[in-house]
Amino acid sequence: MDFSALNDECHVFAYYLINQRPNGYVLNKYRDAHRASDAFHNPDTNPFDTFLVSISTTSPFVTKLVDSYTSVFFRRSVVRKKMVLLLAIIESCAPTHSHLDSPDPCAKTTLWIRMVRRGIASVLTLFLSMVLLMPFQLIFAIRSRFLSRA
Amino acid sequence: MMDKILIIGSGASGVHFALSVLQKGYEVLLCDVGHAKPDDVNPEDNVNDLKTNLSDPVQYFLGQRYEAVVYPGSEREYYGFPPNKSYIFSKPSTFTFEARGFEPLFSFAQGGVAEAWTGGVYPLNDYELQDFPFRYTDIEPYYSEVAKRIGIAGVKDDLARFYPIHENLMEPLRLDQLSHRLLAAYEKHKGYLNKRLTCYLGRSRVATLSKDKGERKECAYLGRCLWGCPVEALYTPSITLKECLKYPNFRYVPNMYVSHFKYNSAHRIVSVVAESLIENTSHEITADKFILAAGALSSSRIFLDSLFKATGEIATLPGLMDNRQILVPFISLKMMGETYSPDSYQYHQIAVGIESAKPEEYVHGQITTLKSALVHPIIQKIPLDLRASIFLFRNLRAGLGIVNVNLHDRRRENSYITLQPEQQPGRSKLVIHYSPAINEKRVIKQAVRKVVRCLWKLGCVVPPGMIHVRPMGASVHYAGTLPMSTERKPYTSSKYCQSHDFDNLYIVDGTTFPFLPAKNLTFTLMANAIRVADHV
Repeated sequence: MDFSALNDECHVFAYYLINQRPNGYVLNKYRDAHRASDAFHNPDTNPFDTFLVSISTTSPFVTKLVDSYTSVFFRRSVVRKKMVLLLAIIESCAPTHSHLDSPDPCAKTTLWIRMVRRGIASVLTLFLSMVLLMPFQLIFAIRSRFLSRA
Repeated sequence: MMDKILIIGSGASGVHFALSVLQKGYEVLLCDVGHAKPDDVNPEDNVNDLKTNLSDPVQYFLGQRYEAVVYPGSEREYYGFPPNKSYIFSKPSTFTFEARGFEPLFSFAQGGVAEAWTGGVYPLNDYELQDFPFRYTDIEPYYSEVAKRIGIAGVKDDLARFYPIHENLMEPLRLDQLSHRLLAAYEKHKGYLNKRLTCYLGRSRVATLSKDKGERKECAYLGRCLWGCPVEALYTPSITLKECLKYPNFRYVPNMYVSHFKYNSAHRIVSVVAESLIENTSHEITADKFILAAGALSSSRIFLDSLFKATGEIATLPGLMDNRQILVPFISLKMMGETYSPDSYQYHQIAVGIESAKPEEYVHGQITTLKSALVHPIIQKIPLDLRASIFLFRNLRAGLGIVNVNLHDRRRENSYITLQPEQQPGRSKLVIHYSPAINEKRVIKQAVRKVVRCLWKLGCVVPPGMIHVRPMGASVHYAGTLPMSTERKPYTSSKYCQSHDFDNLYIVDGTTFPFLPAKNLTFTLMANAIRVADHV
């Protein structure tokens, strides 16, 4: 198990999800979960899955693209599992849980506007992620079919 | 000298039966696998304090192997099962089963499956009891007795048309903000909801203390119900088991897996055969009267296995029932952007009742507003990227809730329990087969449509694609395989739950229920067990 890669993932994903760097406890738990949980011990990992994990930590923008794509087209992907795991850890301990507890301090109208804006941004990101990542998924699928025949 | 009574199972019915016969002076032995619950942690802390004060909060909330994390694509439940309650559903290694159309849950815990219940207590009315060989007036005193024993918070309101009022109700618990708003909206639109939708709203009846009762403290609003109430305000059967242990004429024998009983040619049971899970040895325990209270599935298995061991006959017990449950999540848009209070009672505080053409086919819903549960299972189901989902969730959290809609069930020949012999001689496997009623899809659709319309009128929306029909077996309200009958037929029991096959056998769990209304049956199980104990 590559601890430094897991540390990188934890840092990038935590910042992406809650705008905070993980503390030592969260980092430790994130690494420990990869050892202890059955969810990450599947030997038949899809190559496209591995590809998504590897690119997801390259920049916050790519993280968002990967998250957006997997939220609709590849919900059971390893990268989404990793983010959900981190979310579960974040909400189970202080001080990070408070990020999920309180609403944004603003008027209802402002909140509506923000929600609509977020919704539009999410749809656009999803569209962009389709354009950029779907070809890779197709290539990986064709390649693995070709390799299995060979 | 009083008879010796042997009870199998320490669930809701077993312990209340035990307490009643102990009070009458019987010598009582209770055999059970009896997995014990772990000690409570920091009883004064609320759920968020636990996240700060525990040395390893992630292990407490997610488990040592992170088993409470709900990953995408896994079961579509809205709550991860708390790791500190995993003991409730752990099984002995010798226990095997096969199920079709049914996802059964078995409990071998001290206190049984109700150690994980949400405390809903609803008496059955005469319509729902019409297939039972007794009326509401016959069981009413026992409902009142259970209420006295366990403490029930409830009030007479519009739901009293569905749940009769009995004695010993405590005043209701403090309402959370969203439940309060829903009830206020109901008062405003009552005319429409009652007449057009035949929907009624009111307070849930819950087995939770609104004031101190003996050693148990009143609800401290710590938001920890899901992980087990640290002050025992929420009743669980292990509390009554502790009470039984104070009696000198009571003996509790845990770590015993009862496989079958032995009977003589006159069809009187002489002993039960139990395997010690500690010593791995087989024991025969004798008594005068035998009480099956292991839950409908396990009691049926013991019954079937006893016939199989004695005669080689594989019998089939038809009529297995369970409540179909549908989870309908909703958002109150009026609560958008408001803060929620984690210091609240976590389970349902209000309920919805929907009339049907046949009164016994009433639809029951428990409305749980989201407070302090782990929320990643909900966030990851939102079909947006997680960052946007977190934003959305945070701002809608105070207005989120879920209606757990329950439907009634009837006994059918094609839903049954039987055995399948295994390769090892004398061993058998439990086989469960469930087929839903032909019109089930239509009934579900109608009920859900009414609930959605009712929620809309209350100012709530149901997010598309989020309604979840739980698999049969998920409600753990199993019943019906050895039903009470006025006719003396094989594989039935008398009005007092005395087996028609074995004179000194009484079955006091859901096995003897001839009909399963939409309401949680635990309250009636407890009341019925005391009713039977009064007769023994």
